[in-house]
Amino acid sequence: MPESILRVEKVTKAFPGVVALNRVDFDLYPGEVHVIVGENGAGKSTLIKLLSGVYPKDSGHFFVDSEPVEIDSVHKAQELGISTIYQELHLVPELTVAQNIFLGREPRKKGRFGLLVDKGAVERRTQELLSSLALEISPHLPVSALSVPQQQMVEVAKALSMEAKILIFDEPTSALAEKETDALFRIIRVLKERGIGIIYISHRLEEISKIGDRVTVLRDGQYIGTLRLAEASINDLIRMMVGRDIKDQFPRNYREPGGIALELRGISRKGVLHDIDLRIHHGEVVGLAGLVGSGRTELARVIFGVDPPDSGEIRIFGKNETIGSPMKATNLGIAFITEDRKGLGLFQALSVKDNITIASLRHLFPNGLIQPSKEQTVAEGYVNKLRIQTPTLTRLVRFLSGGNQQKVVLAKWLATQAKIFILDEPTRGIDVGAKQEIHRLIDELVKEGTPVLMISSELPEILGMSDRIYVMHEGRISAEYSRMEATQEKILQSAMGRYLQSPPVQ
Amino acid sequence: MKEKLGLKITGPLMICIAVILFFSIFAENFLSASNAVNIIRQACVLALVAFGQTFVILIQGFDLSVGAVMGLTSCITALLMVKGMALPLVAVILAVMVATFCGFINGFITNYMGLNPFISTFGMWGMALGIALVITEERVIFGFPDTLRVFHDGEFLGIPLPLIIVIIIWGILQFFLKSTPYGIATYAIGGNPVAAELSGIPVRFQKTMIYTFSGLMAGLAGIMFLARSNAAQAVDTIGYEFDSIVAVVVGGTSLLGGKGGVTQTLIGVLLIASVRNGLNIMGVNSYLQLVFVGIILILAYLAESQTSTLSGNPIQNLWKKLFGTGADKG
Amino acid sequence: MNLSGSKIWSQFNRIIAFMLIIVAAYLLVPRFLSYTNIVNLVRQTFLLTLISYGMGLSMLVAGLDLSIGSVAALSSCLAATFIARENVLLGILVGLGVGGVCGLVNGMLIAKFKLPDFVMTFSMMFIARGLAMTYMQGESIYGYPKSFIWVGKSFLGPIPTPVIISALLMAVLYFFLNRTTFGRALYAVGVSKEAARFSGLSVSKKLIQIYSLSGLLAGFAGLVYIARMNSAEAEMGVLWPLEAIAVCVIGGISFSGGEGNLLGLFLGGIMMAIINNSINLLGIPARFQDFFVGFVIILAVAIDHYSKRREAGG
Repeated sequence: MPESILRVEKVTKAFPGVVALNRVDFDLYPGEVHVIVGENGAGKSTLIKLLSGVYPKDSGHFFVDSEPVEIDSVHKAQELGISTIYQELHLVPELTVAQNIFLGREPRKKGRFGLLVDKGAVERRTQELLSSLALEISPHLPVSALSVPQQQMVEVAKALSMEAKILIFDEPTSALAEKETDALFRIIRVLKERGIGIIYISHRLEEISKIGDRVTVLRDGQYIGTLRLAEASINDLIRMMVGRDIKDQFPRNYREPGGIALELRGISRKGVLHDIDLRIHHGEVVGLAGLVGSGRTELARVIFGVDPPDSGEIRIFGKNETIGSPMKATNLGIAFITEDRKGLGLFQALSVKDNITIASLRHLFPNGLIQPSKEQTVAEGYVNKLRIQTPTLTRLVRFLSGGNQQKVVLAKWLATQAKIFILDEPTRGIDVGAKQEIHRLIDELVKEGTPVLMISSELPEILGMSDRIYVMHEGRISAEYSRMEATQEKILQSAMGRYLQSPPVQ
Repeated sequence: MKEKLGLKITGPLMICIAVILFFSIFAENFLSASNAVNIIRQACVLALVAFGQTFVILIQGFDLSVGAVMGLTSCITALLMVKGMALPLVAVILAVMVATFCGFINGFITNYMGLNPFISTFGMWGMALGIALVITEERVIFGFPDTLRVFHDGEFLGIPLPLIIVIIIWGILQFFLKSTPYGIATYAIGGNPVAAELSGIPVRFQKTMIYTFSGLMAGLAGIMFLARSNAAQAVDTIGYEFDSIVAVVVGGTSLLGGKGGVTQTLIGVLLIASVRNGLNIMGVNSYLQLVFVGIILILAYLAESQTSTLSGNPIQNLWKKLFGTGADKG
Repeated sequence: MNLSGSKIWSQFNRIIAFMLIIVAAYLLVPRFLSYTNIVNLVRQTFLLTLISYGMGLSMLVAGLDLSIGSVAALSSCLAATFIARENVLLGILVGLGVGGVCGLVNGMLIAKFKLPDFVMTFSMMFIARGLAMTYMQGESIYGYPKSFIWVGKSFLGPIPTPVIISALLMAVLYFFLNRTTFGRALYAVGVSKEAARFSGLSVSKKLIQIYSLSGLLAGFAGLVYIARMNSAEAEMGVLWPLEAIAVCVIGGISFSGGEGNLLGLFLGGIMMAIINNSINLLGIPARFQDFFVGFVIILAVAIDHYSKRREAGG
């Protein structure tokens, strides 16, 4: 039994408000491909960042070749032989393949104080690396001239040039077509033969059985289990990824929905959205589920006028509209509570009062003159109604807790008397108490007949709050479920592109 | 992608040829040997400054102080010589050291104190100009030994000395950029600063050194300028910061950093110098020339941002931008 | 920052600094508190603030208008042609109009074509200056009708007219910045362009408005200036951008946008005027001011930058 080249023991990492990893175990053997799976927020990317030295761990142990190590910087990780191939590639576009591979570590010519680059050596060694991986990429080409999969290969070659023993791939196939994926797998097999240990993060369950040896499942920061892929079925995996009790009660009162408020027909955006059809009725919450990158936020951005669609129709209250800017969207009565609360949703350097009124100024003061007393009254009203905890209205919003900040964002849009609400991850990073309050507010909104589109990665929230659920997968609607028929497994399956029933409902 | 490369390599060259053709028709004696030599001598001063500017722009920076630093250098040199306080060579060395130090301050403030390069070099512009005005008491300094004139008038085997100096420096810099790790690091810092940092390159230190280098080149340019005019006045060199940036950008070095080089800059320098010379001959006053140069800069910037981010017909894109659907891309 | 709260409180530090400077000047500088000097100081302050309003506005939206001096020169020289020929009203319209158009060009290229503000206004600085120089051919236009000179040289009671004009303008701007939706949206865009966009505000419209306004204000300042000087030259206003930045930066208007107010700008103007005045009275050569302005900018920005870092990191 060979020794493990990497062992992770009871590692914990917490950020303000959330425990990302809770006493997680993991090990890796030379020549093995060990896949890590889990839903959004399960802790996969946090684990990678700890292993690559981006963040320090809070507690637990790392062992490389059975020696305890501290991975306290990116350079330390590289020294230990750990290299990570991220989705955003760290290559310099205008430099050649060879220059990129040896960036910062160029072999020097002897003599002349070692100041000159030994170009011959650079080229030779690059060629050797590329050949050993059977890659037909010329070392002279600038990286910008390569395709994305080729650039990925260059990163792999770079890692090898640093004598990596452990290679981490973070969703490597998300941007690749099938043929390119096969090429990647071929390389991975070559790496395996050399005894390099590979950690592979992916959502694509079909793929991982082709390339993986073992798989570890994480859920909500916890280590759930490790299986040998030869013995595991995909259903087993999904059950492990999802299996939790829906302890939370969701404050929803379901009513009969009204007519169609928002309708999308055939919305497409090159590379991002394909032929989306979607309906939201008055008085209903429509949940939008899917994995990160499936296009949910992109869809919301189209509706809000941030990105224009290449084709398709948007009908608001029955009328066909072209939404060319967020300004137009707000004029039509659409509100968008963004995923990025701090950067896009709030003006951190402004007060609670200013944040609440900023979107409805035109509405409140049509002649352009601000009346401080009216402003005060309106803001106070929302602070009370939403129970926003703040000592004064003039407190800067950056000092509020996450939950209260989110309430301020909600108040902002309520103040505009918006008629359609789009919420993107409305309760992410918020404590339980505030979460419930926000759910209650959503229910009240819907009670008044306002249609709500809720994007969420938390399955219990989607299941507990939605009248109907659409699931997106790689830019398409892969399934539609009513409240009654939806289950966590069904949603996750559809999110991964597996159709248990008939093909996607259009 | 290929077209973009093609545009950048042949574009400025083509514009340069077009400009030369234009002036050869409309400006008397433009192509004459004596005028050509004239252009070259003038271009050499700009070339020196533009070399320094090239490096700064390569790392996503800006050096607005070069004109004032040039002036400061020439004033210091002139004063030292006039007052007999130093031999010409010593005066030159001292003055260039001051210029280099100015560049170092620029680099330090920008990279270690985190200020926007625009602010720090603009502030340095003011400071250098101010000091130059104070030490010269706003007068013209002249009447010093002619020793330095050789840097402008001199010839070696029939080739003007300034040109020889520029070519030697060009050679050194080109070699530096392509064949030393520091040159490659320069492109990396400009092209993908995160990747450069991760590769162990000391980004802040190198950026500071580059600003220092820009100061050095401004100093050398100031000396050559002094050699040409044989008199020093603090405000004479104001405008070189502008010309150098335009020369670098029009020559093909990207304002976004990481792309370009000193060879491209030479073409840009030749272009600007030809334009200036031609307009001079045609009697266009130097202030209106500023207008032309300003417009060239805007056009160059527009052209670059169009080709690097948008696909499709540039004319179409321009139209859409001007009269678009009111899509707020702000 | 609370946009409708007490402005005085937000400038507390600055007011203290201002008082300290006055005490220091009184102690160190001869004839500082003499009547003529105070009148001088007041006049200088209001002229400095007059130049700086446009820069202040563009800095509030996280931009920069470097072209103010050149635009003022261009518009004033064109205006002067008409004014000198007794067409005062037309001249004023031309002055304001040309300023506004230059500003509009700045705004459109910055908003619609995404040119960085300093590239665009930097270029405009040279273009406007070049046009002005070409138009004037090194000469100056002087000899204006009394009705126009009145603006620059007369007094209303003990107070010079330009001071009143500047103060009135400040009041108008104050009103716009603090009491209208226009001003509120301006601050929002300055604090965060992205958040403003996602709150339904039109960022590009705001940018175009601000730069046009800045150009207009530059034209206005130019007119007041030539009325005072009774002469228009193409070389005027070369240092205006630098001085205006200094006034704004000392006055607490941040380059990153969304921060600062007119009261601060005014205090910045006073302090700048006092410092310039003291330098004069102490016999230091006037051109030292150039050095000083550059130095002050760097110092003020550095202080601003470090206090922000402490705030954020701590």
